[in-house]
Amino acid sequence: MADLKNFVALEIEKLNVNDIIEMVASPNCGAISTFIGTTRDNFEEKKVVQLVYEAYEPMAIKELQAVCNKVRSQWNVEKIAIYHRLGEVSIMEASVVIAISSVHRQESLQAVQFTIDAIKSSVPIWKKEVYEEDEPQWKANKECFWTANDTKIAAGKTIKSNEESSTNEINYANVVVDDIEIDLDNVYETVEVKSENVNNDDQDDQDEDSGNEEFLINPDQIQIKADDQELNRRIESFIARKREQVNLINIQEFCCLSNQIQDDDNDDNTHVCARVNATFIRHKDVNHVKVHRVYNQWSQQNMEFNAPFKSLKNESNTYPSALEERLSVSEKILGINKPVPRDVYKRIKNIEDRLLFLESISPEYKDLWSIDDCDSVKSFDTCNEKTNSSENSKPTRKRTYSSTDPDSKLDEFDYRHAKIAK
Amino acid sequence: MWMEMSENTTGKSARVKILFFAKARELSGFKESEIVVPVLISFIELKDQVIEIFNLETIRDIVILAVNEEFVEPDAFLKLTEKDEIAVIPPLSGGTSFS
Repeated sequence: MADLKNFVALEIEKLNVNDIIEMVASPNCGAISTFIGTTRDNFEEKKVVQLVYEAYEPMAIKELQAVCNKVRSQWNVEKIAIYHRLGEVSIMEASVVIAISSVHRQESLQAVQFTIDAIKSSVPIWKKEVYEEDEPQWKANKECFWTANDTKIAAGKTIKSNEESSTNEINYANVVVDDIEIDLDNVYETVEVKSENVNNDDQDDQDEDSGNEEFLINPDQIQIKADDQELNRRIESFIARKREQVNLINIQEFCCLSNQIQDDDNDDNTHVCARVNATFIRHKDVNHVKVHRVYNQWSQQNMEFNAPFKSLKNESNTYPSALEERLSVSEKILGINKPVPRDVYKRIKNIEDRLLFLESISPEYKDLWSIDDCDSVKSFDTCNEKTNSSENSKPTRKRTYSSTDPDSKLDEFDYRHAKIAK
Repeated sequence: MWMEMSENTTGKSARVKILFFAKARELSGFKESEIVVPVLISFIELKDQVIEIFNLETIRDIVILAVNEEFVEPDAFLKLTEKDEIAVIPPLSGGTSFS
């Protein structure tokens, strides 16, 4: 305790990291932890050409000493060195160097982290960034203790009454910084966890009477200092962000096939349901009707070996070439005139109809002819080439034949034979 | 140099040194100056006067004051003497720009 083991300084000259580390070396220490803050050449995509540091020097030294004391009150560390640059600092040079030695690494590592945060929060040093194109700008640390909590500072003592109005649904959102002490040593001790019924009254004995408990919590355990509203907002946006990530993963994992049926907007993955692999189809003209199409991978139609049929559904001319060939050859043989319908089923139906028609007029099936049909066959013969035009072909199809017809003929035949046999 | 304050105060006034840093220095045009303020004054009153005199309206909400190298609490009530030194402190930006 006799000799001071804190080395704090503000330097115009370039910092020598090695020298600073040597300062804190100690024979009884097993660890030296360091932090070196370096200047970088960009800020929000703006090119930084120069950095200038300025300090309220006597106060900065005092505050740096205070930081050292604060570190020593929390961790068992041996020596502390904090060096900060002032004036112009070139890009990539060290603007701050912290070196702390301790017997075991845990202490110095934690202490270094705490030290840089404390410097940014309470040591009166300012940085100006000079940009290539924009106006130079004085920066502000988000750790800066009064701007980070400016709502509290501005409200001063009236904070307590405001807390009452905010709902305290989540317990850990109730960690509030109450009556911020400017003295760094006291900053952390004044953080209080308050029970749900925050009393408006400042008097301590009143607080106790109304059953409120206030207790100090370990500064190590405080990670966030913000009011209820801000904490709730952060929690909510955290949940929202996580939900978004999960949704995205679900879409990537389960909706890999959705793109196949989204003809219009292939890159729009947001309107699909991960669970059933359904796709929300936006209709251009009828916006008020929501249509969901479920793409069932396991249905017969969608299995791989049935793939050609999928394309047949689209009334396009792009049949598989083999099928196209068979159809057109059949049509040619049967004497069906072009043009043929685009829909493949209509086309096949036409072929069937034509076959039935040809059967119905064929001499082999003469017994099946009705008298009427015979008449129409004559008319068919006269306009043979116009079979496909509906007016002439329709009368020839007056009668249809079912499979019972041949049976009844056979029965009739048997009946006659039986008669003859007798 | 020093500037005359309005005479709406009771009791004595003191002439104190005032320092400006960073943005505050650029706006006021001074690195160092003097003002006459009531000996007994609240932080809010002192800040109001400083901001008015030295044209710091644009950074009113983000600056705080230090007296004799100590940050002043927003609800503090000050007792100043001629030897005191006030500093106008814009938001700090020491350390590095890591986030």
